[in-house]
Amino acid sequence: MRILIVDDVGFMRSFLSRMVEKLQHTAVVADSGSTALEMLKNDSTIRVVLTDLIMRDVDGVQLYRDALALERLTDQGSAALPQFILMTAARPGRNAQPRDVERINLAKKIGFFDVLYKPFGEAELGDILRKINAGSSDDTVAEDTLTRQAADIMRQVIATNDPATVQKFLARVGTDLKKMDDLASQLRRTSVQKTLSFGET
Amino acid sequence: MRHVDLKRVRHSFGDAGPLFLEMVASFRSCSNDLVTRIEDALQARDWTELYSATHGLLEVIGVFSSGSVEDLAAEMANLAHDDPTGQSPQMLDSLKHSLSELDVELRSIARLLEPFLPHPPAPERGHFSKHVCDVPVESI
Repeated sequence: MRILIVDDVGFMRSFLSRMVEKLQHTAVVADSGSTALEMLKNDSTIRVVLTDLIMRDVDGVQLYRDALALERLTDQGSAALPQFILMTAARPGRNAQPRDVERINLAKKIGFFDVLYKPFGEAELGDILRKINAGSSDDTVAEDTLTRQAADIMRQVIATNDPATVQKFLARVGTDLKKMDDLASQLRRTSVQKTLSFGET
Repeated sequence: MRHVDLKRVRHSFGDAGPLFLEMVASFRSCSNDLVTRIEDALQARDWTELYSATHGLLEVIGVFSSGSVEDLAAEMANLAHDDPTGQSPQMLDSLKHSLSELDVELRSIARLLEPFLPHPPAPERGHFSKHVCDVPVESI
């Protein structure tokens, strides 16, 4: 997998790149959130973003929010948003400020795949990347572009962290869900009828 | 050894000896760079920059050490939002002292390990930014 490492400390970028490469993945690096956004925009093959929380320009959570608004186009249509992993040396209950704890909790809520506390080893990162890899190979079978786009939109709604927006979205989607449910039942009935008529012939 | 945590080192590097040597070689320049950022931020009373730089240093230290030097960096990071008692400069002096001790320890270990490991590969272009750690890896 192609993995984008976002960290404003060169030493960590270098260390993490080697770790990623040792795990048989390809590492690309960005030294800031804005560079990372640019790379995400231009490189639709990036499958995972490993981002630091505390950086000089935007923090890791803001980077994720900004990335949600990106349109990543490929020849096959729009590319899915990569999976995001948050990294931080700010440990809740030890050296994290209340704001950091808030950001870490928000990250978990809005759709980050996982949070890694620095220092972490190759084994911990490897486990997470394996889970992502397994998940995304299932996705390619199960998800078409429309389903992926719907999932991205839902993540954007969650990322607003605004109960009123979520409420409005759910109310709006409720009607469509009912229609889709009716359609699914109709399809099931048709399929049963087809099977029965096949059995009769 | 006062500062290097071998358990932590094994956790960070596993069996990647050459990577360890490479990271030890760039540790001094990277930590110096971050210490300069901390000093500048303290002088400018720029708490946001101070917090970001102390966290950067905490991450770098954490790769090798879990002892007093990591605690010092963590304490500085906690002070970084506000320093009503003016402790930061003294704390920074202790931190600089501990960092140079950590560096000496790391280099001693690296010297012992080097003959038994393949030579570390040269860092690829683009791994180090222009502002942080943009210093060629020196030989151990």
